[in-house]
Amino acid sequence: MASPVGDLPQLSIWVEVGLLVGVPLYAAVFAALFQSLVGYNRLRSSSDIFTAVTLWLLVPLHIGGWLAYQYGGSLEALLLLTIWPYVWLTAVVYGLPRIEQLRSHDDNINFGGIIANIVVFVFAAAIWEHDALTVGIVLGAIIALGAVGLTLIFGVLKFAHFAHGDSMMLSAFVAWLLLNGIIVGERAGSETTLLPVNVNDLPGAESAIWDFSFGYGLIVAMLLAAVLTAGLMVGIDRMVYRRLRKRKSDIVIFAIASLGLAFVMRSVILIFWGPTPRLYTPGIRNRIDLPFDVSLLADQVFILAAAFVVTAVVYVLLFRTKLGKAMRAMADNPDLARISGIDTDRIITWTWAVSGCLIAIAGVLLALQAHLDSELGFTLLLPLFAAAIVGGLGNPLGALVGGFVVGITQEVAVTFDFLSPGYKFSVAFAVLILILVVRPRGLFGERS
Amino acid sequence: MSSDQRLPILTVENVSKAFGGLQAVDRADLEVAEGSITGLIGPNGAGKTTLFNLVSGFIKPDSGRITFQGERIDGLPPHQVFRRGLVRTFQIPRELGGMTVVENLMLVPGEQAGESLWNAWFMPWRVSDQEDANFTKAEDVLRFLNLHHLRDEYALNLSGGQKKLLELGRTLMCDPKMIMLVEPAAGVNRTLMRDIVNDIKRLRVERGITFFVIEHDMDIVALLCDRLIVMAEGTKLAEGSPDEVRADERVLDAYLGGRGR
Amino acid sequence: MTHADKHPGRARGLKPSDFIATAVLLGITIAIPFIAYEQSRGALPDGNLAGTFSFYTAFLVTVGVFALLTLALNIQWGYAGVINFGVLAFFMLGAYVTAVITKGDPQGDFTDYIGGWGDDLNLIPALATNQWLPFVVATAAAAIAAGLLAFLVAFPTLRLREDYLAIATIGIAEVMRRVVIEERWMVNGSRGLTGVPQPLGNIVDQSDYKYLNVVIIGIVVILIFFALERAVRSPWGRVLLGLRDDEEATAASGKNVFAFKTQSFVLGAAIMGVGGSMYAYAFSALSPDAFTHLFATFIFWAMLMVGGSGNNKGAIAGAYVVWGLWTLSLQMQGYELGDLVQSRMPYLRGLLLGVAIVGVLLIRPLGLLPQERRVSAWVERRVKKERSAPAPPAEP
Repeated sequence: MASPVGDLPQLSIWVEVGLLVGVPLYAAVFAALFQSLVGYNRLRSSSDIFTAVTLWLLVPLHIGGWLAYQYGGSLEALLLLTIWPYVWLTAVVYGLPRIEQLRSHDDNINFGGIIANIVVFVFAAAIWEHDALTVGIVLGAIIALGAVGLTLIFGVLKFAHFAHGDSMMLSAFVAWLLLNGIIVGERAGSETTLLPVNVNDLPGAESAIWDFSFGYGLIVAMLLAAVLTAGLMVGIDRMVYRRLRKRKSDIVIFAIASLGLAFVMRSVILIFWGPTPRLYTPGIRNRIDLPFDVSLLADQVFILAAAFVVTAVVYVLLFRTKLGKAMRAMADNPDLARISGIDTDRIITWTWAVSGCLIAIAGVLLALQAHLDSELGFTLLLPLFAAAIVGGLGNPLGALVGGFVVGITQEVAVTFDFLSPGYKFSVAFAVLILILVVRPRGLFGERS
Repeated sequence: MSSDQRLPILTVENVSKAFGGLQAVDRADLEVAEGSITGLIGPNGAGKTTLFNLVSGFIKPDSGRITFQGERIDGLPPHQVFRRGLVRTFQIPRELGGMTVVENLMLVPGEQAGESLWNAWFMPWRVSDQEDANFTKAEDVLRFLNLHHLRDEYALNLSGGQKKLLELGRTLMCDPKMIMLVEPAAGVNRTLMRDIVNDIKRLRVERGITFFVIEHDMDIVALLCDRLIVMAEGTKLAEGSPDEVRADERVLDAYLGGRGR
Repeated sequence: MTHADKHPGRARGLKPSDFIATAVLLGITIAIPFIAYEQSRGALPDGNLAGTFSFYTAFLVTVGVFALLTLALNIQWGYAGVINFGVLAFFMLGAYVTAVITKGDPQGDFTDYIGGWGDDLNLIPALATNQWLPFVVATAAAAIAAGLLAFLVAFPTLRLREDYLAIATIGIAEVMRRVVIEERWMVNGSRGLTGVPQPLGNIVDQSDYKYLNVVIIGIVVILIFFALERAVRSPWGRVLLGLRDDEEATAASGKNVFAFKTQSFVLGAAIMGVGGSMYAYAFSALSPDAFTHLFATFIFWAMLMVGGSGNNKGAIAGAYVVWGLWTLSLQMQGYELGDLVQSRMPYLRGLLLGVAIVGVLLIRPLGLLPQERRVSAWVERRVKKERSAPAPPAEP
C-alpha cells in the first residue's frame, strides 16, 4: 500500500517534527495507559493518575480532529489536533517521574512503551516513507550482523571492541583483493595486481547471476574473506588481547588497545588500496519491483537473503550446539562457567572466529550496499554499538532486533526535510543516547 | 541474653532482590543490635554478599525497608550510606594499588576541603591544615594496625593479610558507627588472624563500634561474634548465640545441603 | 587486580627494556632540533640557523597546542580513568567558537557564519579593547562551551559502564563534524573559516607572528600545567586516582563517584576548548577536513600513552616526542624513497601511531614518565621534611 490517505500534501516541518517525536511518544503514553488499565503496572504516583485522567479528556479532542479532517480539514490540522496535545502532555507529565527514576538509578522504565514506539515508528515509516524503510531494513540486516559479532565479543570478553567497524571495512577490502587481486600502484591513481591468482580467474566467476550485479565470484571471495578474517581476529587476540588478559588488565585497557588496532587497520587499508572509494563490480544494478509498490535493488535482495542465512547459521550455532551454549554461559557468568569446567581459552578463540566471520560477511554486504571506503569504518561504530546496546550488550538476539531498529530509524529519519542525509550516523547516535537514558540495559538485557 | 535488650542499629525488613530469575534475597528480616559483633553465616549462595551490597547501597532492593539508626537507607547511593556512618569492606581487598598506603587511608575522611577544586586552587591553607590532620590520623591508624613501616609503600605491593588490615584501617579513618566486614580473616595466617580478632574486639570496646561480619571460618566466628544470624536461600534461617546456632539442626541441614537439592 | 597496567607500584627493579625505551625516546627528543635544521633545508636553498629557528618555533607552537589537549586528556583518562574517544568534538567546538567570536561580520558571497562579534568588542576605545578583549572573551567562551557540551554528554552516560561514555564521545564527535559540515549558515560548512584574528597580531609582522605566538601559547601551557598540578596533587586528585584504580572501593569510601567523574570530564573538556582556541589563533584557518579522528582524537591518545598517563609532565613530553616523530616522518618524505613508499608515507604514519599505542600498552604501560609516587603535594612535603629532620630513635 502506498499510502492509505491518498496523495499526501507537502507536510510542513512542524508536522514532520511532530511525526518524529510525537508518534513514538503517543504510543508510549497509550502503552502506559493500557498497562495501567489492565493492572500490569499499577498506577503508582499522582502524576500517573493525572496522565490517565488528562488522556481521557483528550479523547474528545482526538475525535474532533478526526471529524474535522473527514469534513474537509487539512491533514496538517488533523495531525496538529491529535498529536501535539499528546506531545506536550507526555513531555510535561510523563517526563516528570522519569527524571525522578533516573536520579534513583532506576532503569526499569516502561518496556511496553518502548516496543510500542518502535512498532508505531515502523508503521509510520511504512506509510509515509516506504522506500526509506526498505533501505533501512537492508541496512538494518547488515548492522545486525555486525552488532551480533560485537555483542558476542562483549559478552564473552567483556570489553567494547572499537576495531569492529574498521575490521569490517578491512575484510571487505580483503574480499576485493581476493576477487580481483588489485592494490594501489606506485603512482597515485594507478593499480597493480598483487595476487598471481584470484577468484575472478575462475571460469564464469564474473558473469552476473540472475539480476545481481555480480557473479558467484563475489560469494566465493566473501567466504574466503570470512575465513581469513576469522584467522586474523584469532591472531590479534593471541598477539594483543591474550597478553592483556594474562596481566589482568582493566577492560578499559582492552578498549584502548582495540582503538589502536582500529587505526592500524584503517592505515593498512589506505596503504594497500588508497583513499578512493570503490565498488566490487562495475555491473548494472537492476531494480526489481515487488507487490505493494515496493521496489528494491536485486543486490539488496541478495543482502537480505545472505543475512538471513548467516543469522540462521549463527542461531543454530549459539542455541543448538554445545559450543554456543558454552559461549552464552560464559557471557552470563564467566566465573560460573570457569568453575563448571568450560575451557575459557577455547571459547574465546571460537568467539573471535565466529565474530570474524560475521565481520567479514557484514563488511562485504555493506560494501555491496554502499561502497568500499576506508573512512566508513570508524563512524560505523555508532550504528553497531547503538544496535548492540538497544538489544542489551551481550545478547545476540537483542542485537539482531537492535540492528533493524537502528537501520530503519536512521534511514527514515533522514528523509525528513530538516535532517540532511549526512546526519545518518548522528541519528544512530541519538538512538543510542535515548536508550542509554531510558533503559541502559537495553530492550532485552538483564538487569545487572 | 544481654544483647537482646540492646536497641537495633540496623534493621532489614522484608527485603527482596532478584537477578533475572534468581531470587538472591527473599523477604529477609533481620536486626543487628547496637554495640554487638554480629556474624552472618550461611552456605554458599545464601545471599549474604547480596544482602551486604543491598545494605551498603551498591544495589537497590526490589522491595522492603532497610533502616539504619532509625533512618531509611534503602535506595541511597553508596557514598550517602557511608556518610551516615555505615562502612563496609569487600571480600577481596580493594586497595587502591597506585597510591601509597598512607594515601589510601587519607582518601577516606569525608568532606575534605581539598576535594573541591576551588579550595585546591585558591584556598590552599584550608587544605594544608586538613591534610596535616588527616596524615597524623592515618599514621595513628597505621600504628594501631602495625602497618606503619609500610606507610610509603604502594598498596599494590602489600601481602594479602596486610591488605585485609588496610581495608580495616580504611574503615577506621572516618569514625564509623557500624562496620560491615566480609571475611576479615580469610587467607590470613593464624597470628595475623588473632591480631585482627583482637583489633575488632578492642574497637568495639574502645570506640563502641558495631560490627556485622560475614565469615565462613567457624573458629573465628566462635572467637569473635556474640550473636549469629544464619541465612539460607535468601532469607534468615536462625538466630542466636554461637552455641545456640551450633545446636540448631536446621542450620546443620542447610550446610549439608539437606534442603532444596 | 586491575591496576597492573597503570601502576608504577609493580615495578620491581628496572629491566633492560626500560633503559632501551628511555634511551630511544630521549634520543628522539634531543634529535628534534636537528631534524628542524634538516627540515629547514627543504624550505631554504641551504640550511641556516635562522631557518632552523623559524622551523623549530613553528614546531613548538604546534607542540604547545597539542600539549594542552594531551594535558586535558590526562585529567580525564590519566587521573579519573574516564575514556574520551571524542576529543575532536571539544577541540573543534573550542576552535570554532573562538573563530566566530573574534572574526568580523561575514563578507563575500561564499562565506556565511553566525557571530562575527569581534568588531563589537571595542567597548572602551581608550583601552584599545578591540585588541585584546575579543581574544579573552573567545577563549573563555571556548572553554565554557566545551565544558557545557561535556556536561551534556556526561549526564546520561557517566553513571554507566566506562565504555558507554567512550561510545558516546565517538558519537558526539561525529555529530560535531556533521553539524559543521551540513549547517552551512552556522560556520560556513566544508569551506571552513579563514582569517581568524590572532591575539596581538598587528604588533608584529605576519611572518614573524609565530615567535610571539610561541610565547603566548607557552604562557597558556604553563598556566594550565600549574593549575592542573595544583588540582591533581590535592585531595581532589586523590579521589580521581581512587576512581581510576577502583571505582567501587572509592564509592565505599564515601565519595560521590558521579560528581568527581563529571568534574574531571568537564574540566578536561574545557581545557580541550582552550586548546581549540589556541589552535584557531595559531593557524588562523579552520576547516572540518583538518579535524579528522586521526588528527584530532587519536594522536592525543598516542601522545598521552607514550608520555605516561597520570603524569602532567609526561603529557607534555608525549606531545613533544610524538609530534617530533611525526615531523621526522615528514622529513623522510623529502628523501628519495621511491614512489611506492613516497605515496604511502602519510598512511604509514597513521599505522605507526596505532602500533605505538598498542606497543606501549603491551611493552611499557607506564609510558615515558610514570606517575608520581605520592599524590598529594602536602604529603610529599611532609614526608620530605621528615626525611631531612634528624632520624628518630629506631622503633623496636
